[in-house]
Amino acid sequence: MEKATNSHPLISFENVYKTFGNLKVLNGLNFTVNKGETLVIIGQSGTGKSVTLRCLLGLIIPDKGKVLFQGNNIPDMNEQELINLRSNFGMLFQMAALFDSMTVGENVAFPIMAKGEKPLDETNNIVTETLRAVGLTGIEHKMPAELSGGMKKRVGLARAVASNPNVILYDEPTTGLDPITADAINELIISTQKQMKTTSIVVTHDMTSAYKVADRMIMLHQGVVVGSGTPDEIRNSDDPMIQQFINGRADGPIEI
Amino acid sequence: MNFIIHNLNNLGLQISDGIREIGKVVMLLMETIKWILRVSPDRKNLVKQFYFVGVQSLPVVLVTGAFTGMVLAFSTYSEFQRLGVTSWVGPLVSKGLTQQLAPTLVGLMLAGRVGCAMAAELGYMAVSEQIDALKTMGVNPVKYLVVPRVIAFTAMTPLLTAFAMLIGIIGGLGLAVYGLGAESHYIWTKTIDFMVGFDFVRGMIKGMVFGLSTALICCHKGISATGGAEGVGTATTKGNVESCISILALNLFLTIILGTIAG
Ligand SMILES: Nc1ncnc2c1ncn2[C@@H]1O[C@H](COP(=O)(O)OP(=O)(O)OP(=O)(O)O)[C@@H](O)[C@H]1O
Ligand SMILES: [Mg+2]
Repeated sequence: MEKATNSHPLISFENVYKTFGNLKVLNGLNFTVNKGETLVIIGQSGTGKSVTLRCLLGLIIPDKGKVLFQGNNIPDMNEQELINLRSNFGMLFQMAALFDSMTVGENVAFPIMAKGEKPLDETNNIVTETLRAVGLTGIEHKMPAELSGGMKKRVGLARAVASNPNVILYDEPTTGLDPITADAINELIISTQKQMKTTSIVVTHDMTSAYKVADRMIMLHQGVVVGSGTPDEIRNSDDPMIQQFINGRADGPIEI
Repeated sequence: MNFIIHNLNNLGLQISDGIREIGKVVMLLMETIKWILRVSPDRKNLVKQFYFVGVQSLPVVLVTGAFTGMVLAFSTYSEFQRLGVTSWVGPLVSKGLTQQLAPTLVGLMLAGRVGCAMAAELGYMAVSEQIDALKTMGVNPVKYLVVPRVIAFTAMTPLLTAFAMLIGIIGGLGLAVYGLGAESHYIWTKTIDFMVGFDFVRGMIKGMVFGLSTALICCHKGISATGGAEGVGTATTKGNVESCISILALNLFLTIILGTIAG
């Protein structure tokens, strides 16, 4: 007998719609994420990938549809429930969103301190360790304004994983990084998932990274899922839209 | 005809927008009070804001007070001299400063110096997703960002107003005595005769209300900013204009109420 609890996805989007003014962004979005898996979301710029992640954090309330986390509908949550929900998540924002009035060290320590359960020296150790894992050492005392774009991104990544959340959302983790650093980040995403049994959603345009980290991939176009499958299934898909995207061609069914 | 209707329609929209904005500022006030009652604010943040609002504004406020006091004395002195009552410059300068000019001008200067900075800083945090990042880490932005700013602004403005009143009176009377040749003894006794402690309190109450309203308006504009650099610009400009207007409007209201209390 199939156990219902096992087959329940951790996260599911059910028919989610979101409009900004008269711009329809999400148009009946449906997908699920199982516990412990890494889902990669690909899709053209402006199709609503970042909006999707924000819906999951309760930062954007959809107009219609359900966004379920452990079976609870996020748009229905009150302030306290949202705080509890968010304590499960770490997020790497697309523009890193580092607190620019704080040093790098304070930024990475912030989510740990916000949870308020660790002594200071332990926190400092985690900060150093996490920064090392993203390839940054000895920059704890720098301010975000002194960093390059790629370094900011990696600090943002360190901050997202520092508090050891159950679910990590990565919004374009390798964009703007050189290929070698990008691969180190891929390794970090994979090892975090393996060691901590985290569930991850990775939004990316970087197909190398996508194939490498994904257990499953979905492609978004105009606010709906137009294709899904394992990296191999996506790579070998005969769907013209998917082929156009993964091969990066300007001509095809998707118009710019 | 159409033109008129169109404009009336626009005006209607603007008024309803304005009312909605006032509603949002009042809601921010309620939320701020709720957080102040519930948890003690972050010490480090609070100290930083006190320093920024209070200590760093002191030079601007002192200059404002001194020049206003002196210009009041200078521009009225010759009239009083013709009437042979030069000592009246004392009460005029003191009353003028404490009742109206010091709180209003300090309020306006701070709306420029501090209010704009708050709207711009929070606005930048909003458009660069820093406020979303705070929320994601389970930190309430009103508690963490707005509360210390509102407390510091509300507490420091009356103090700064008091400094402006004092330095303005010293500057005004000093100019009258040492620059224009008024009799220091008479001017001083006349001033003491007319001034009551409530004059100072009244100025400080006004300052407090102006500080509170500016902090709330500018924080509201900041945290709700959207759309990149332009959005930060809009938030800053609107925050400044609206807090200045509210200072002028609240001043009338407070003048009437405090005048009634003073009898
Ligand atoms: N808060 C908002 N207000 C208004 N429009 C928004 C808002 N957030 C997103 N949008 C719009 O929604 C659309 C989708 O945005 P989103 O950021 O999700 O795109 P994306 O798929 O992440 O693109 P990219 O790959 O370029 O990051 C865009 O057209 C954007 O302008
Ligand atoms: Mg995006």
